[in-house]
Amino acid sequence: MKPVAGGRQVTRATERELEVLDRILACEGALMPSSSFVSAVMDRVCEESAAPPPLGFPWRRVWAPGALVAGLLGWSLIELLRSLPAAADSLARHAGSSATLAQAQASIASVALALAAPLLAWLVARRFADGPGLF
Amino acid sequence: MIVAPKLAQAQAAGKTDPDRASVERVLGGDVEAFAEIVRRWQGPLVNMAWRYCRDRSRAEDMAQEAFVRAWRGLASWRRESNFSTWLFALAANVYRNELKRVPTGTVPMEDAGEPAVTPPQQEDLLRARDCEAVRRAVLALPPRYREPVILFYFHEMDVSAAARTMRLPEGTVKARLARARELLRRRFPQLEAIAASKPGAAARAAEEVSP
Repeated sequence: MKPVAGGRQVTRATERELEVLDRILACEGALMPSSSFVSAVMDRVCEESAAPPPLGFPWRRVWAPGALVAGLLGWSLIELLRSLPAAADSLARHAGSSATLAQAQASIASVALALAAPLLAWLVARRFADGPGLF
Repeated sequence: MIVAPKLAQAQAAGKTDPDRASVERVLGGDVEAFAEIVRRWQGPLVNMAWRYCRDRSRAEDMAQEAFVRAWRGLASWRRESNFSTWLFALAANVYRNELKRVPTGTVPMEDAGEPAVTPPQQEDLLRARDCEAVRRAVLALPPRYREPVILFYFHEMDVSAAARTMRLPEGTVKARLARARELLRRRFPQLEAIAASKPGAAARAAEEVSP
């Protein structure tokens, strides 16, 4: 092909290729579903319609223990907030004692590690299960 | 040879009135009325599924699942849109998720067979094979480009219908279609040879191919 008007010839070539693609992909023979397709679908539909409805969440059974747990958590939080100033004073008084400070730091470190370990394990498991991405 | 009705004819036959009447009966408790919907739309849904996976038995399984999901969600059909639009969008969603769960056994695009240079007496037969190679190469496209191609040709080259089925803007569908065509054109540079060698050869070869 002589590149006399290179751009026009390239465009014509591209248009021919597109037409060929269109003809190939558009002119497909149609598939006839098998004779048992409708009955297979209706069997499943009838099975589902005959099944009992799914059970609803048992809100009535859950509200009492739920309220108890919420109450306990709330009470714990209030007690924690009340004791924070006293704990801060105590810590300030004993700040000079390096042994107490080291003990406090070790406790904080172990609590932080205990909280971080499950999170880390979950992240690794997600990575292995689904590939990139956290969610 | 029995040929399933083309999509446009099926859509014309299954207008909103018969679909709406069937849906109202189903929602009123007549389970058997759903069989009318299945009979009316089994062809298009099975054909759409086949374009997604190119496996007859899997296509029927996927279409069956789509109908069951349609049964479960029939009450969610908003009457302002066509029943076919709602059904195709639901089916496309089912097929997409099914293929994510169990991908088709396709080779990567780079390894898909190329159209070959052939002796003249075998040209028609091998063009049919080449056409099938192009169709299978569509399945090897990245999913975001594959689905617009599948639905565009399923809807007889109607961009707006494909966009409605995918629930995407038309511009997005057009852009993805253009990109998909570019990828296919790069993968099959010898398509021009098929087009240039004999007028109408590609169309004849395409028409001869049937599952």
